[in-house]
Amino acid sequence: MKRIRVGDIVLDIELLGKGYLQETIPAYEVPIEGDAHHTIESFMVDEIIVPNEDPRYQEPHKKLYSSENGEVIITFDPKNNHPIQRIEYDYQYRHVQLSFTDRYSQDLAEIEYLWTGILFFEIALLHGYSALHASAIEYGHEAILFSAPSGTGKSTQARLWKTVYPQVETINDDKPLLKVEHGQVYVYGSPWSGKDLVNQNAKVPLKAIVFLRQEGNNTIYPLTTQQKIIELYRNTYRPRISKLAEINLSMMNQILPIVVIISYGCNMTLDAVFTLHNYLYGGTR
Amino acid sequence: MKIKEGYLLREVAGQFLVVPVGNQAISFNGIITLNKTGKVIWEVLQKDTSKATILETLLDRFDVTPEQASQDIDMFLSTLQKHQLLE
Repeated sequence: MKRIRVGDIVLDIELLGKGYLQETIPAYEVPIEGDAHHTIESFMVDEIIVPNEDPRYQEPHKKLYSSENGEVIITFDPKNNHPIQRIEYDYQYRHVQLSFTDRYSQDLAEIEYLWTGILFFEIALLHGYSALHASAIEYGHEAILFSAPSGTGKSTQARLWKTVYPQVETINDDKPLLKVEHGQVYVYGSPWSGKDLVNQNAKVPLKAIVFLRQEGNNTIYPLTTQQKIIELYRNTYRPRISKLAEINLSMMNQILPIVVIISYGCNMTLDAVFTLHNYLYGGTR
Repeated sequence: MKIKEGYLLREVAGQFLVVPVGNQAISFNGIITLNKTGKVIWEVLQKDTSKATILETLLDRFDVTPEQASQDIDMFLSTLQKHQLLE
């Protein structure tokens, strides 16, 4: 069992897969003293136990069971419909258990990464941290977040900034966390940082959220409040559980009035960096 | 008629938003923004109601003619039906 601290969230975590989180977790490890807020444990089992009651929701190979204490999600093998995965948690996420059969021996680390990511982002919301799908860089002790659907060029913009400004560091290349503290939004790194595992254990004040779209030229587009809300909502982690959805909306309500949020139509040349830098810093630095 | 269970209506930065929760969040992955009239109609539709009741509420709350309010309600209801948001 390892203990990690992300912001002020203290989490004990025990995983089986090799790679992915095993590589990013050490930067967040802290000594085990006292109790953790949450525990996530992964087990390899011979047989997955399926609850007796009717599921609350089902898809072809997945069933969700809920009780007053928590939820159980069972995944079935598409080939023979045998249960192969069980994810169980209480609504405070104090104890999260992931059980897998040996069908997952090859891609266990990846499956664990995906599930623990979802559960961690829900845990984070409970503590007031909202995950935004973005590549977050640190420049001049401030964070700039490039957000967009996958494949738009978030990481590319981050790399271009590093090319122009070698002091730029990536905070998290996939889902940095945002938290409002004393009227300022801070960006936090976390071990869940995407396939390339690029992240640092950092807390940096947020300068701007830049929603990217690919265009031939580089143009900054101001957004209306409604457009900002839609972009933010689309790109944040959206929980199913009502209480967490409330927290998510409340976070948006706090973030919107105090953060620079723009849409940026840009290409993948160094000029994209200069144009944005000019807009954010007025040509200084 | 009534709005389906599983949607949260909240005011965020002065805008009225509806987001799906529970099972609806699995099948509907979006966000609905409402104007003031839409917000009031949505609230009335939290309970089983009729067009006449919605019309009465709009006339009571807004400076609008019955014809205009009736047209607004029809448009709103047809959007809700199109997106299968009504029970």
